[in-house]
Amino acid sequence: MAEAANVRQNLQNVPSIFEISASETLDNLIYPALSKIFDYFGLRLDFKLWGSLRIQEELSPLLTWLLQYLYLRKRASSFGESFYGLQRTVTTTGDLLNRRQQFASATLLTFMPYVERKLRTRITRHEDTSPWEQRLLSAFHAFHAAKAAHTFFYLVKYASNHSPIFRLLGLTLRYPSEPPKEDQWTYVVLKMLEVLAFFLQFVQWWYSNDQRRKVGGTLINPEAMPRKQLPKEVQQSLPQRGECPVCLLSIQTPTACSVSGYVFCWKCIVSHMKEHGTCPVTHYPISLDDLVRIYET
Amino acid sequence: MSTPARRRLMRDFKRLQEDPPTGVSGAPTDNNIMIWNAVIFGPHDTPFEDGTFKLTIEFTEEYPNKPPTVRFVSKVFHPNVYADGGICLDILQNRWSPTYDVSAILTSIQSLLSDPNPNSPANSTAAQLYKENRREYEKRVKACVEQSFID
Repeated sequence: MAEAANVRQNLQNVPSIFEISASETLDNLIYPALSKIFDYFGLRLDFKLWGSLRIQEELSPLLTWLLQYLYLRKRASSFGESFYGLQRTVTTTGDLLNRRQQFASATLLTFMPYVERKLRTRITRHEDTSPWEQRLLSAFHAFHAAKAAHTFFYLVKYASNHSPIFRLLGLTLRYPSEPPKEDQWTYVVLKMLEVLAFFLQFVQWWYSNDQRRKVGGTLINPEAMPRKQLPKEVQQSLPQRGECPVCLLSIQTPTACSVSGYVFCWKCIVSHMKEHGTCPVTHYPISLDDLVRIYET
Repeated sequence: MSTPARRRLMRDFKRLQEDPPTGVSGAPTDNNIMIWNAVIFGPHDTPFEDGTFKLTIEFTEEYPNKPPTVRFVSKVFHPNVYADGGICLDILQNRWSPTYDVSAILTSIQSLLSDPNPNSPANSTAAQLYKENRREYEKRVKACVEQSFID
């Protein structure tokens, strides 16, 4: 009888794989939601906020880290785990996290996805990746395989933690035995952050709608970008009958510079871009991603 | 042999002949299309009026991605023209664009004669006179105009 009660207690204290999976999904939503918010405000504030795009790219993971660290400090769980009422405990002793484990958890939780995202971005853009980057990506593949194996073992109750990261840190997930003791200020802040969680879901839904609109919806007619005022000599030099502004001959392999809208020969614009990094007509900075091949039917 | 630079220069020459701008002219030397001789007539209503100033333009195979080297052969008293005839003009240096053809270059230099930029002087005497003693400046300019008749 006592043994049966003890078994039931243990089973009730162990979260199911579905709650863990849901909490991980919520954690993974933070970065794209923040990026989407930055994009929105960035576009509204100033179109030429171009230089600070890098800052935005680095600001989102930093804010994500701060959010996760706050939750790990106050509730011994990540943002997503806290939302589903879970808590991280030391596997052997059942104690809560110490400072070092909090820091390590937040860092691994935030920057492993960040590094992987960077690697995949570079590979999809066909940039020259060095051998160590290839090996690092292979390591990520191995990690995901190990995680899948861990999840399976956890599902069949063979392992006490669901992820290699948790095994590495010596942690496991449990339901807290008593409600968290917090002061008023902490309670208010964490409640506001939980409201933010619903907002994240809304942003995801909005983003999906946004993408769907872009694919098949009706396009509002955008205002044409104003034409840059060129010096008089340049205006007079530009060809009148559709020739390439650089070689002044018939355009071969037409390529548009999406930053300025002018069309050049592929060879002319690429050689100029590699040397100067600017549009030949407007001097706006351009990169290879700004060149658009134009096909004639 | 035909290279992008030479094809572009033949195009520039053709445009210069078909649609000649006012007050400037130019043509390649007989045996080398990479070296041009040009003439700029002094703009009206300026001290340079009636002057005929000769220039040489040297192109490289990197043209039009790199600007040519342009020098006055005639003596020119101007804040932005060096003693050796070199020209201090932004579109021939950091603000060069491959869309400038020979016609645009010569027209820009002609405009420079009307509107000097004394803040980046190539000839400090001319820049100083232009700012402080306009009468003496114009007298010196007229002297080089008369000199250009003889050349």
